[in-house]
Amino acid sequence: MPGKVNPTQCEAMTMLCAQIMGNDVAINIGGQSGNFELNVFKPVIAHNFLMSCRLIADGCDSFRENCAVGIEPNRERIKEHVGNSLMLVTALNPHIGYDKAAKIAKTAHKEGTTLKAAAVKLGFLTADDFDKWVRPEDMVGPKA
Amino acid sequence: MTVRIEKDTMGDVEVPADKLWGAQTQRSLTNFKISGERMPMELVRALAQVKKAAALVNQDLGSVDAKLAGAIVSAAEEVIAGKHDGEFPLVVWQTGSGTQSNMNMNEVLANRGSELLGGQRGMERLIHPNDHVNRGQSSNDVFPSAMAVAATEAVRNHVLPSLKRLRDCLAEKSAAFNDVVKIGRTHLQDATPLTLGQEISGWVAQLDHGIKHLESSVPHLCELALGGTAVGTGLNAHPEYATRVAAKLSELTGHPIVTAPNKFESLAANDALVFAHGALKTLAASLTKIANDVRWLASARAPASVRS
Repeated sequence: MPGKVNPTQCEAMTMLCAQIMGNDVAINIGGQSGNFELNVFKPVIAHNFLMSCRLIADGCDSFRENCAVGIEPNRERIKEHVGNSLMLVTALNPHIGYDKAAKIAKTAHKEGTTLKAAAVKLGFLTADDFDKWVRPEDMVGPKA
Repeated sequence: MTVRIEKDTMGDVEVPADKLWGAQTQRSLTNFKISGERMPMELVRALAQVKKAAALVNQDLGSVDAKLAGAIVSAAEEVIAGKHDGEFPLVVWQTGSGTQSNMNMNEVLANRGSELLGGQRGMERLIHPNDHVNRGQSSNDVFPSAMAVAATEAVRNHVLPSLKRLRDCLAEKSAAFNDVVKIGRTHLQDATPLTLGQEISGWVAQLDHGIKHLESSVPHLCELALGGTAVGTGLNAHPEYATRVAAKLSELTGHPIVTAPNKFESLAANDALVFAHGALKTLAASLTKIANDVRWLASARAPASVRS
């Protein structure tokens, strides 16, 4: 598969996290197994604890240096997906109510049209209202 | 192979002549041929720190002759510097108190210390593994103390700095992408929009919480069992030994080590490590979530692609 790039740092990170979950089980069993004046599960606790420390410390550095520092958004594609999403209809809830908004989304989905076309066709609002109310950049926080 | 004869209470044992360990280490090697996971080197170094602190305090208290204590300290410093890594061959799958590894250290420091004084290694040595190196100690308080030092060192010097570097890197990304409006996803389906900066700020907050959880485990990790000796009562230890050795280890390591207020707990339980590992486990859950989000977002068909 020439040119294929895989999320290998993410795979290393999720694997080492799986190991840490396993280490936690061994440490819990070791920790609960003391009798009277001494716990005699100490080496297995130390072994697993220090392994987890090495895994997290090295894992975070590897993930940061070889993956996280280079993260950049694909702005065009993100914009395209936002524009096409039927869930922008949620912005209309305060204006026309949940049921009408749901009808717009379902109509657009069924007929393969945009939300705006479906909304106008159903007669719930005008195209101008739609442009005023459905603005993704205004949908990312609470509003009075 | 050239050998020398070492003895313990059970009799003679042949030990490779070029090795510093003694009879009890050799018995462990013979009787516990189980898999291959060696006692972690971080723990070996921490054990050497404990021995160094113990020797210094024993010297101050007049419990061990100053010349012998000085040689034990020098030998321990060589181990800490990594000069004798090959002298600690024992595996994790041994006695659950770590006694064999404690004796491994006592034997190596006794033989090496003897050589530093111009004496021999072996039964003619000038330093006794138990009477001098292990003076005022028991495996039962030494080993958990070494675990405390090694764990504190790993958490404070390695895990926390690495987590903070990743946290800061993601915080920078969060700020840089705060104007990128993307579609949110719940149940893996389209939801209402948010910014990429907001999304990443959630990862940063996860790491902030995880760092706090881990930091909160440090005080208990830093409670030292030393001075409790065999069952926590402190039998055969000088009354000032426990507090002095904790202060000495704190000075040597730079960690906020204190003597455990209750030695019975610090021998019979390992709750500090269980709790601290709970924080590491929680971080593993956070890091899995973050790494999974990154790879889903980077997949070609994802609704908010990122390149990395």
